[in-house]
Order: sequence, then structure tokens, then C-alpha cells
Amino acid sequence: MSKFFVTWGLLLSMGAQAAPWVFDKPIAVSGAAQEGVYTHLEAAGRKSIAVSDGWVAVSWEDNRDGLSRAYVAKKAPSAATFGNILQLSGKGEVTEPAIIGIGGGQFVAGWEEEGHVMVRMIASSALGEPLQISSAEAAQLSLATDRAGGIIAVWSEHAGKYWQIRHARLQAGNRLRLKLLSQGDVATAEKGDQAYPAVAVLEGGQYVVAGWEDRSKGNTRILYAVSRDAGKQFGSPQELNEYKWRGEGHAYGNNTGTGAMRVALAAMGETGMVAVWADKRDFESGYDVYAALADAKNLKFGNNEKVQDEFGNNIAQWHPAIAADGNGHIVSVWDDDRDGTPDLWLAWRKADGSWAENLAVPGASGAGVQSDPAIVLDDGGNLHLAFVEKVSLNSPSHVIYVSGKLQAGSK
Amino acid sequence: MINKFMILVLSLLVLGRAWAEAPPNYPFIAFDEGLKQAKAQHKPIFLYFGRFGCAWCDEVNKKSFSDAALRERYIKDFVLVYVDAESGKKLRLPSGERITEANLGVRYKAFGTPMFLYLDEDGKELARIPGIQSVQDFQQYDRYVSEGHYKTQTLGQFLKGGK
Repeated sequence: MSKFFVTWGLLLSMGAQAAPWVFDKPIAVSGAAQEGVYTHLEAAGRKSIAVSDGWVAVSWEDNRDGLSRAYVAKKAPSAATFGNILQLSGKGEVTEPAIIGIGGGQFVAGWEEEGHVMVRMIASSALGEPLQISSAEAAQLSLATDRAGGIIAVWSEHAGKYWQIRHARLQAGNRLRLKLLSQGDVATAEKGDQAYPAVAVLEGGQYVVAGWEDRSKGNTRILYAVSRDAGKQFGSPQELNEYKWRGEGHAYGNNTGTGAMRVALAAMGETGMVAVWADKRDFESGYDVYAALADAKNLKFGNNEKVQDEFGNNIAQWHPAIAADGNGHIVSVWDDDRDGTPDLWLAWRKADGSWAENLAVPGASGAGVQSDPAIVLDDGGNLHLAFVEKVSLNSPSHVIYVSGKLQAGSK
Repeated sequence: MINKFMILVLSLLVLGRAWAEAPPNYPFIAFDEGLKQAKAQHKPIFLYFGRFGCAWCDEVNKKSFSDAALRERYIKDFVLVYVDAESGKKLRLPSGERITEANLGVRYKAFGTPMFLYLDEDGKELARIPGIQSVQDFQQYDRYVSEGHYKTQTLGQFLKGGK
């Protein structure tokens, strides 16, 4: 064995030892990959996996019956496999299913179907009636919960000349019914589209943060707005990403700054919020993963922090997702092909505020393509990941789940 | 009386989502439509990955794609496809898979914009050109693809070999 491989093996093992989680074997969620079937985890805010009192649920879209539809599969608290696959959507073509856990083993899922945004409750093997919450052409739903039966939905909806972010408050009721409490605009789109929203609710439910892509200032910026009344109304939009151009090329065209896309948000219990997004400030190597934190006191996002490590700097990162809890765990996952093929890479924020060296997720890296991750932490700090696996970029695909158990003494 | 075409155009202007902009006055179309046209017309594809707010795309549009002769040549020789590398607009691939324009960018490794790809009528990559290019550069790339030099030479060999 060459010195190179010995050194590389040591580095890998050191990285694995440093991780706060011990990873279990991957489990198939959507069945085996089948010829002609293409699977996508594309919820806005990357909310495609959720936990609820020990249950795990994953929602995805695939075309197994010829048309893209939304599906869900759940894993019981002590089960080793996922249960039956349930179809969430109706007869129409679907994109971007999203899901959240609302406690008691129940979930709320939503999706876009033929230009409408739909939501419905899920409990054991039963599904509630679907409820349409959009009123014009709409897409890109994201969901969050106050953990007391209250649900906040945000989505992009056509409004006059542009698309803008709408929000709704829903309440889980008896017989798996969702009650629509209120709706409104998060912010008015007057000069450009708003798209791909994310939402998170501070524990307790009073404070809600919505983030989105905004195209009103000549480049794509990540904006956010805060609600201090449980999502009834939102304050003025504020800027999240630093976009001032620092490279060469000032003189070119109408340069209004660097680009950013696909924000994801997570609540750190009741202590604050964390956001990640794909950031184009380093134009030579494609998108990077950047993060920002906001404490619960003022809910104002601070300095942008680069999440990927030096080994990932020269390669583009895609599909960043984020999970957090109230015990100091903040962890981001994305895919990049620094090792030759797309793998899932994980970074967690350490107590000193720096981000850990990236870890290729065991069971979600290696030969073939592992991409499009979604992530959530349960109340014990254990990590739950779903991702798309396929042989090559354009081959049939399926959804895989992998869990990471928090090691004793890890914080 | 306003004809149906005008109504359609006005509707698109009012209702259409404002995707990032391709060079004006060029018949750029969506990727999936472009693949169909390329197949039907037996033409290669010129695939332009741009991005909303991409200053360098703006520069290329103004400095190079404003050239009338280049415009005429590219319209004649290629099916012109524009993709906004950040957009959520859906495309249907020949396999039947439906993906967003942003994810098409992931698959073609369009890490930066502008990124210009030359594809054969089946969507296979023939050449990849990142960044700002002059009118003369685009003319050479056209020759490399349209005259079939890609079959025997790499682009680097072709450009080095006196063109």
C-alpha cells in the first residue's frame, strides 16, 4: 500500500472520528431505481425530510406511473425500513413536494400540481383531504411548524407582472383536516420576481422568518422578512447575502453585484435562526455554500460565513440544506464532485463559530451520483438525511435515507 | 382588430415570468424545444448558459452578439438555446425526465456564466467555452463545429493550427 493511500486513509478516519454523528447503513425510501423513472427532491428550502416523535417521513416526486407525482414514505420509530409508498398528489403533474413533522407521528406535506399549491395531513397510513392554498399560478412551496399544531406555508405565486412570495397560516385539526387561518403577501414584488422561499419558526411559534430569492435590483439577492405575530404579518424585507462585487470586472455591463440562490432556513430551537444558500461571489469556481445566523433577540442575520472547506473551494457546490436545534447543533449538507463524482458533504458549526472540515457522508458518497440532499435533526440531535442516488447524472434514480446517531458527549 | 398572435405576445409580456435575458433579436429558445428542432433540422446547438444579473453576459451580448454578421451566421448554423442557470423553469429531457434549468446547469457543469456549449443534434457536447468571447472567437468556434473539425481535432488543436 502506498504512502499516499495510508495518509489518505488516516485523514479519512480522522475526519470520521471528529464527526459528532455515527452513521448507519443507507436505506432505500422509494424502492429500487427503475428504467425510465426519475426521482427528485426539490422542495423549496430543501424541506423534503421530516421527523415527528420518532417517525421519519420523506416526500419526493417521481414519474413511476408515467407522470410526475408526489409521494411519501414513512419509517416507524423502531423500524429498519420505510413502509408503503403513498401517493400524495392527484391526477395532475407535480413538482417540489415538501414535508414537515407536526408531532404525534403526524406530518403535513405540500406540493405544486398543475400550477396550484396543495397541502394535506399525513398520519399513520391515512391521508387527510388535500387543500389548495394558492389562488393564482403558484409553485415552490416550503413549510415550517410551531410544534403546537400550527403550520406556516410560503410559496411563490404569480401576482400581476411578477411572482411574489405568499404565506399562509394553517392549523392541524380533527380528522386530518387542515384549517386555513390566514393568508397574505410576505413582500410586494414591484420590480422583479421573488422565488424559492424558505421559512422557519422559532420554538414557541411567535417569531417566523421567511427568506427568498429576489430579482428586483438587477441581480439575484437573498432577502428575508420577520413576523413577530406568529406569521400573520411580515416586516420589511432585509438583505441576507453580501453581494458587493470584489473581483475583477466592475466595468462590465450593469454590474449590480454577485448572485445567490436557493436559500434554506432552520430554527435553532428558541435561540435563533440559521440560513444557508448557494453563493456566486467567487465567480471562478461556481457556487459556494454560505451561511448566516440571526439571534432570537433581534432576528437580524449577521456576517456571511463560508461553509465548505479549502478542499471544496475550487469546485462548485450545489443544493445546500441546513438543520439545527436548540442544543447548539448546526449542520449543513450539499453535493459537490471534488472527488470525481457528486457526493454528499457535511459541515457542522463548531462551538468557536468556525465550520468543521467537510465530511463525505458515509453511505452517501463514493461511486455514482449522490445528490440533492435534505436534512433534519430530531430532538435527540440525531441527524436524518435523504438524497437522490443514481449511476450517472442522467440515469434513473431513487431516494435513499441515511441516519447519524449523535455520539455521547457531542454538543 | 388585434390578431391572435398579438394577443399571445401581449399575454406573454404581461404574464410571462421574467427569466434572465438572452441577447436581443436572436431566436433563442428553451433547451427541450431546441433539442427537438436540432433533431428535426439536423443542426448543432449553440447553448448559452446565462444568469439574471450576469454582468459578463451583458458584456458579451453588447460587444459580440450585437454584430450583425455574427447574428446572421449563428442563426443560420445553429439552433440557439438559452438557459438561465438559476431559474426554476421546467424542461423535459428526451428521456422524459423533467428538471429545472438550474439543474440542467448542474448536469452540464455550468459553474459560471456566461458558459457557451456547442452540442450535436443529440445534445452531446462538442465544445465548451467559458467567459467573455469576441466576435472573432465566436466565428472560429462556429467554423470548428459547422465545418466538422471537431471530428478530428480538439478545439485547442484547431485554434492552434492556424484555423
